[in-house]
Amino acid sequence: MDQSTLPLQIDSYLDRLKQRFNESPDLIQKVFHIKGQEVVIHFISYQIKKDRLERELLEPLTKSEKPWSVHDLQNKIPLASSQTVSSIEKIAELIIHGNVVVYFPGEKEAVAFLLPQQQVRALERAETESLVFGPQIAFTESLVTNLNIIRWRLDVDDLVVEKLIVGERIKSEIRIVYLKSIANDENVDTMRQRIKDLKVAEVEDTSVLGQLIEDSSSSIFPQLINTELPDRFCNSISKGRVGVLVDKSPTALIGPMTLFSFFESTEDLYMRWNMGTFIRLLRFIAMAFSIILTPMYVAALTYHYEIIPTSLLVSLGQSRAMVPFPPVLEALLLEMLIELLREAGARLPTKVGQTMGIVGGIVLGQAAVKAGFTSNILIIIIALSALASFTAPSYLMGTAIRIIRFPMIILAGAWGLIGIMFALSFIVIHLLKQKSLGRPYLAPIYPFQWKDINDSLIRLPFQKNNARPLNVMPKDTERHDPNKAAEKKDVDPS
Amino acid sequence: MNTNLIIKPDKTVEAFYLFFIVHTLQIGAGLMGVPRVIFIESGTDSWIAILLAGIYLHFVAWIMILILRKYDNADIIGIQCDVFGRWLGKTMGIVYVIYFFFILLSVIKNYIEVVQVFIFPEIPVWLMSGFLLSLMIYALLGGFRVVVGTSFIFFLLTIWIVITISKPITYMDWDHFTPIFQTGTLDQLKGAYKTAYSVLGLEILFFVYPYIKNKQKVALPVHAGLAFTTFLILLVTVVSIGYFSPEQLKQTVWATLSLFKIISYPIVERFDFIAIALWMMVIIPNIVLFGWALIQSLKRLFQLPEKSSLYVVAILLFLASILIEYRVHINQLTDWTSSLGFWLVFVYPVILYPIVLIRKRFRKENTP
Amino acid sequence: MTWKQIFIVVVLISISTGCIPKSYIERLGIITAIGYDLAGENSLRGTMVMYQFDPSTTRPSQVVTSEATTSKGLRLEANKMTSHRLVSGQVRLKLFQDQLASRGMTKYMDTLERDAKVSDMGLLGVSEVPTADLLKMEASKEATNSGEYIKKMIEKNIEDNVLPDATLRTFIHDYYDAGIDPTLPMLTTTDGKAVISGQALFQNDKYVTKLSSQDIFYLLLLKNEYKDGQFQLQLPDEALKEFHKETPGSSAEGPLHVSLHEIDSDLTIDPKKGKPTEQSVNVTIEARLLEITKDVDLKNKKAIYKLEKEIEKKVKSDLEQFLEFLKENQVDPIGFGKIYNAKNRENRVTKENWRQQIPELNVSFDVKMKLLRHGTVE
Repeated sequence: MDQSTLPLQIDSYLDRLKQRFNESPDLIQKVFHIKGQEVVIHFISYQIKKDRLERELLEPLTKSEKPWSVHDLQNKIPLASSQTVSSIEKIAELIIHGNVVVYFPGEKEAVAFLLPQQQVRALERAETESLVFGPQIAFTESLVTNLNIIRWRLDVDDLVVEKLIVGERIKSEIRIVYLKSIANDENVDTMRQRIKDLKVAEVEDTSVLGQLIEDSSSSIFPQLINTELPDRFCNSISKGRVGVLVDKSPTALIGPMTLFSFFESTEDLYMRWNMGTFIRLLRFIAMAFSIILTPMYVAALTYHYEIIPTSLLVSLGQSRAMVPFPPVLEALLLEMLIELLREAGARLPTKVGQTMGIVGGIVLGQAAVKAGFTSNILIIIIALSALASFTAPSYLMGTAIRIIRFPMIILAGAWGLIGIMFALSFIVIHLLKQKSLGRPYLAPIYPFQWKDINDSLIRLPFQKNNARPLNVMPKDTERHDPNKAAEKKDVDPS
Repeated sequence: MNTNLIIKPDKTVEAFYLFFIVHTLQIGAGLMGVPRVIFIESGTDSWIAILLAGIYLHFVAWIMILILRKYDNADIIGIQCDVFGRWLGKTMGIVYVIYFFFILLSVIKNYIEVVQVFIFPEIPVWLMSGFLLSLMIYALLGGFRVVVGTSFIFFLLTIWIVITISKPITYMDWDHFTPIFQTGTLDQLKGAYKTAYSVLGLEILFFVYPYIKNKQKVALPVHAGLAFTTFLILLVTVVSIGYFSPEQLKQTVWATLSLFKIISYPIVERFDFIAIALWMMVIIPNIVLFGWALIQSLKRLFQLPEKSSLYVVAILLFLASILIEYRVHINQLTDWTSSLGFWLVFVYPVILYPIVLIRKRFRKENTP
Repeated sequence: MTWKQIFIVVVLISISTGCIPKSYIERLGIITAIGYDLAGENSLRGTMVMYQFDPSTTRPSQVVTSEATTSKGLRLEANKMTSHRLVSGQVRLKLFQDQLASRGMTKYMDTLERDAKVSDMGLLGVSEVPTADLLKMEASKEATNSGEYIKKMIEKNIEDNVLPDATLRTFIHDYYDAGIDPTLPMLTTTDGKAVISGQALFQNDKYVTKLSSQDIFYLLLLKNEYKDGQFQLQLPDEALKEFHKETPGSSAEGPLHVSLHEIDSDLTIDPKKGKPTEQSVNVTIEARLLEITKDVDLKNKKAIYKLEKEIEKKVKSDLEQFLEFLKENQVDPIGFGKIYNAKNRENRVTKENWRQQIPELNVSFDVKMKLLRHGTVE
């Protein structure tokens, strides 16, 4: 029988551990003889900080006057993180995670000291959600660093960070972050229960976790926000939402979200309220244009020549006359071209990517019109709607909107305006049915919350707008007293 | 069958939404042709007929709320069974079911007709009714809150069309309204009666009442919804009378839609095309709410499972919409549902109320 | 299968089977203007200005002429002559030859009104010369074709308050209304250019006579309250004799012309109770004197007063003449009958009985003139 619990004799102990690691050359086994006592030390060389091991563990260990006991080891070594273990599996696990395990053969327990060394990149500027101004810092792959940033931004003891482990095979550490006195218990419970109930082999990334715990996986619309911005994350948390961090992932998950929150950027807060409102409304209008413009072009040119303004008729007709394809195909081709450019630009290094943009945008566009592949008006329309879709602060939402356009173009090509209306109605009903962590997705429009509109569709000045979003049902709805916030005790100049 | 319903709190909605439920259900296919229908009866004084109809509407709503308040949490199906007994009550319930079915059919058919006349003469009927019915099924599968949401959101998405009517207003000829009081009382009442088809939908109150969270606040949104409906019909009719000459209006079947024909914008030459396509969004709350009431009645009457009855009803509607081909038949269908609706919606509650009162008193005396 | 899969399958099937005949604009001949002429006793000749888009041609606009007995037939005939399907959804101008218009226009417009595809904002016009001549003319530089040019010309004149509204909507509205007759602009050619020569007056939908372009002003004056218009009129030569300036070299001889600008008018028409043929009209005109052909001392208040009186007299007599003209032709473009109907319950005017009553029309005019400012030079 294979015995894997301590105590073990030195030979079998070394043997077992070596087998456990598949004879890995990385596992370092060191046997010291200190004052006649055998001490076995195990670690993986690149997982630990070697200088600390020597200075803080080996030095006191070897210089001791009397033989060591497990108890002494835990108390007298000046290292903060230590624990006792008694099974080979656990020892192996700890070694992988950057522990140094010290074992006195024959004892019932070994002691593990945490001396981890992780390759982390430094804090960098946000890439996918870049801001013009406001905090520029982005999350990194290290959970510890991320938690560090969050604690630093939300430095209250109210902040709860719950730890969960998910993954049947490869375990991932997951943290649920929320403010206890604000976040709705039901939201936290839903989030916790959904994560706990997961039975998956592994969780690759936050976005994977997001897809696993979403309310509706068949919808194209994301229901939880993935963000790489700590300020956005903390802002959401402080408004009563629940955040989730996954180790080794540079983004964080926030919920419950509404459709409109995908069009909010923290920059709207940093800007003056009227600018913020303007830009927010601009994004909504851009989205509407982005969805409707190309299908309308297709519908008008395929069926409803009556709705084309007389002044545009000639230029549209003349540019269309050159094109050998029906408008649907023409539009689909160009939309495809834009998607290709975007995809190619994303895959290539930045410098080459820029050239790609120029080649695709100018050369291909020009050539396509010259060759009679597309009408130049369509080029304008497509470029406009592509540009509009990139204004979404959430990359996922922008992509969703670009993809929605394809079926809409096909419907417009098949049944004109009726097809477009059908698609729009379908999308609206679809959005009505969506939920985010069980909370309505279309809030604050439906269910209608007058107070929430102040900071979703538009952004009112902070003095006027003191409520936390009611659709997440925060325990404390008021952020501050609006009268106090507006108070000004200026020194009388006279 | 239980008279009162037990509804889970997460299925209820605020009374505030009754405004949208009642209003969107009333405005639909009827509004497209209502000016002509009223004008033929009441002539230049149609606005008086509409105001009369509006006042009566408020009266009926008041009676309906009184009836509902006699019970804790009942809908009309339960009330009827309570008042008339099991068999007669169920028969009345079936009348409602038939009424809902035909009104759904007439709404769908009328819209398809409009699309065929104004935009696509060639669009197949089965395709259009397939579109509308699949949207109905999709929304109804989401449950009551989605149904209410549909009426709310589609109201917001379409109400702006009202603003565009400002262009036809500039073409109005006010001479068409004077002298007032040319029409006799009988014709006024006939006009008011004809308004009925466009304002059917009030009966939904009998069905959604158990689903309202704050029942003490029911009256205001319902009356506001009715007032808004009356206002819209009044607006559309008054503008049509001023815009068309009398003889012309008598020949214009869809006067409301014809008003849009002169509206054009720099990017859209002919707004009527957009308006008619957008009218689909006006129709959808109609279909969804009537469909919900129909399925709900079937469930209450015969304990039919919602999903399967939904599919069966949708298939029946689909087949019926394909089988009715001629314009004459559509008009006949509209007339039938209109008169059935008139008795069921505008007369029946007034009769029901005294019976409920007598029944309640009778019962109180029997059980001291 | 789940509901969603069924849905997708149904959508795919519908897309593949539920197709509607398409009308790609590059395959259409989009008619923008049509002219109808009388070709024979029972046949029509139609001239259609249309856009058709070919990769090879630089000028997309073309003109096709065909003959048939009905207006829809014209399109069918014309279809045989072009490679593009002719459609009428963008028609913005319809011209009728006067001979054809005098037979009644609605039978040619019936399709126009029933067909929901045709815009209500299209313009109508009557032509003294065959419409084919008008529409086939070489267009001026600013318009792509002569249909477009005529349309712009009429539109501009309506906007400048020189012509009454000529849209299809207004025509049909007036045609159906009792106690009013429609009017349309009259076109002709001079020196190879299309020009507006007057206003065509109708009995119901039948063209009757032409109103000279000088008199359109009076039509406008009585039709509606007038805003921001301009007008010129000739007064008796010696009307302001006592105020002529005695400066040498000034032209005391020749006719006296007065040019008025920024004319605003107030109009009230009062029919006598129960008698549609007895009406009184009050017109108050406010205007700015822009030009006067004789050297008159305008600082003198009396001179202004005299001038006002003279203009009043002139306008009044012109209006009376204008009314006589209408009575002779039994037309009522102003809508005296309609105005009577709006104010009276008894003895109502109908389309049938009003025509007989027009010659008995007795209108008393009361004109008030106010000259507000006069030029920059005192």
